[in-house]
Amino acid sequence: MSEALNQIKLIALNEAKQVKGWFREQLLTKLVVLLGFAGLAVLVAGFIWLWSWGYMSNLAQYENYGELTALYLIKAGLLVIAWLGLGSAVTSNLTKMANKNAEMEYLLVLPVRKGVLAFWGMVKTVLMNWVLVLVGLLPLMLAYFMAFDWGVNATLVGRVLLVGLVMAMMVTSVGSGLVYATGRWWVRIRGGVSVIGVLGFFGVSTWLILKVIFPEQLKTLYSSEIEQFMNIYTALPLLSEWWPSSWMASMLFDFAQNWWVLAVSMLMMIIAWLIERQTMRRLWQLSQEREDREKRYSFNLLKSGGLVKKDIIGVLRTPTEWGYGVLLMGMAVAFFVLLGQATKGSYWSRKFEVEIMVAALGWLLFFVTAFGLRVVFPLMAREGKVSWWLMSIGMGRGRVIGDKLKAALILGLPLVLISSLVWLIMPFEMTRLLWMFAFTGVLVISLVLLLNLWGMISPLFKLADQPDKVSTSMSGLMALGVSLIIIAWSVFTANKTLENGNLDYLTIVAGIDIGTLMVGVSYWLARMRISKYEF
Amino acid sequence: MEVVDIVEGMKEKEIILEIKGVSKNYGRTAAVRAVEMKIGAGDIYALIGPNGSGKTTLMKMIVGLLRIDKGEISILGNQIKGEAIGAKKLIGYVPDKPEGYGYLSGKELLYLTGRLKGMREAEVRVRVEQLMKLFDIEKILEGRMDGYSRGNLQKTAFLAALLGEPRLLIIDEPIVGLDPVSIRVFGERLVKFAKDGGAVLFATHTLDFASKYANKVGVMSEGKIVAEEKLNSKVKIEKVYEKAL
Repeated sequence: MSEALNQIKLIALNEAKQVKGWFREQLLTKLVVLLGFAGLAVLVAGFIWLWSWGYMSNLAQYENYGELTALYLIKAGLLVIAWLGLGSAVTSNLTKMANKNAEMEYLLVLPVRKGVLAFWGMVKTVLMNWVLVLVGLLPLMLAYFMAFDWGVNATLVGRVLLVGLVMAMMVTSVGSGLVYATGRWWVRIRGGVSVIGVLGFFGVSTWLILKVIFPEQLKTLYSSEIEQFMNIYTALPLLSEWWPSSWMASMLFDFAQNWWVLAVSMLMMIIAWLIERQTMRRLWQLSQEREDREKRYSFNLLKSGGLVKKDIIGVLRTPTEWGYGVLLMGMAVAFFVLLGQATKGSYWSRKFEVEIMVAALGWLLFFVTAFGLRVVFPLMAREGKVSWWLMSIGMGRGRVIGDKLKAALILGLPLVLISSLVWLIMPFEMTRLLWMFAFTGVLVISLVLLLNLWGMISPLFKLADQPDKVSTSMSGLMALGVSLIIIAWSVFTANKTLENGNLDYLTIVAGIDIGTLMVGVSYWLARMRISKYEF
Repeated sequence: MEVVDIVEGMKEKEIILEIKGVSKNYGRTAAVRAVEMKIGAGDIYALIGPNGSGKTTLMKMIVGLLRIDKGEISILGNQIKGEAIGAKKLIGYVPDKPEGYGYLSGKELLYLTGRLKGMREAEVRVRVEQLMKLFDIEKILEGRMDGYSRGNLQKTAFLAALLGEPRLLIIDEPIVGLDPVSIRVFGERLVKFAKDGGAVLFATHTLDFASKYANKVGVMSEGKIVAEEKLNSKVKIEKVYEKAL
């Protein structure tokens, strides 16, 4: 036992040293990146708080109905947060299992206990999930406490933090347990099929969650008499005591009576740890063996075609790349289906409909930016290891940049399709939809092109193998910042146009001019910068 | 026939690579200092010297991967600074660490290289089929490049360098990771390339290989060419190296 503790201590100290070392170079840049992410988390949390507080303050005016609806909202929120946490746990464990990791390889060569490696990995995933869970849970509960006059005090906040931790432990256990228990299957099917598996899993779970949150009975609530109301309400699936989200909700309001949930989550952690400890080394070995044996392409896809085709193949043959893209698009569709369900059948004022449409546009463009930053932004940086070949082959920089732009456009096409679908999913009147189709299409294409160009202005060639880190670098953050300005302008234009009921040509023409200028300047910068690169 | 005879046999040697007073600094450190070099058709030039003497930096400047601080480099009259595309079309390059696209097979990289060098699809197919026979690695070339050994990456990069119509081969550490048979094939191919009117510049620490296949040697030390000799049965590479340093 003392040996295991000592090993955990050593690994933790080593990782702390790595973090310290990471800050040693370019401290300012890294602080800005971290602050940027913290700012984004605060922004998301702030948005959740604002919306929940506004909605719950409105509900608080109705004595019984208001309290019950707020409780329903909390339970639905808990379920959605748990779903996101589960997604994060499954993805991080699959990534851990699938990716080559020099540090893990080194640790596996050393006489380190399997249980120690499994334990340390789980601790890190729980902590990450805790933060993720709190970004949603804390603002939701604060809004509730404030709207229903509970007041905000240390005990209540402490309880939310504790419930967040219990939730993080549960979703991490389920995610890790699922991935490692079915590990051999994942290793066998690996690559694209495993991503399809993940997507299938999340597709089904999203559908189930939608069914649980918005069951058929919910519609009858609107027209029910007061006597029937409670009967229907208590029979709603989300209120069943069997749902872990109900356990969490009970814990939030009375921890002393529900301490057993904490015990259950710890037991789940132990079971997941045992599964991981038992399977991780063998799965690692299996994944290495298959890597060498399976990766063959007897069918030559590059008999014709050039860099554009190569880049598209590069994304399609890298499951983490296209998987992320598809997952993000899946999340966007799920989000808009959810929003569509929530707004369907209700009688909104014209003003509220405009607000919802504008908010939907903002979120859609945010999804597009996230996709662009992850898939299209690192296209040039991914050339890093092979820049000796690309830059010595005798191609002009204009052609290299042009081909990257073409590849970005092709990769961004599904986004244009999805952005059009969004306006069909949302239950709005068709009069303004045609304008929204065109406006969104132009914006999506512009964002994709701009993100691609910005990725070429200062490409992080050293991170060629880690495109995710390219997206979260300083230049990625700057690209995100400029994208947010574009999103803000778009939302402003859309709002103005939809509110006035006619097209505001001045804003649109100004937008097109500024947009064209931005693309032009970015292209010129990319061309200039690429010629200055030394490899 | 000795390798040197190839050069001797050519009446008017065409200058393929010309380097005039080239210098390169990394901050305050002078990596390459006023290097002068001429390599003609039929030359196989071995660049030798201790670690950190500037060999790789010089080679990267020749292929346009590093900027030149001072001086000029031209390939058959095409300046690498101003006419980079024209110059690069004449070069085949194998770096010291030839990494490939992990998501492509070696064969796909060869086809892509051929196409980007302006060859037609049918032309590429014939050429790739011929080249693959050099090392007998057809099966390996169907695998993803992130699974390749160091030697197989080296062979793939060499085959890619031979595609198109290169007149100058720049090879940094040609035989690292290669098995003895492949080393022989590699060397013989360099000789054939030179015989067909091309020129080769390679950097190496393996004097045996250099003495066997090169007909000219340059010793680099602290960024400068400190000795340059034609090799023949009387001039031994080991002696040139020892004398220069």
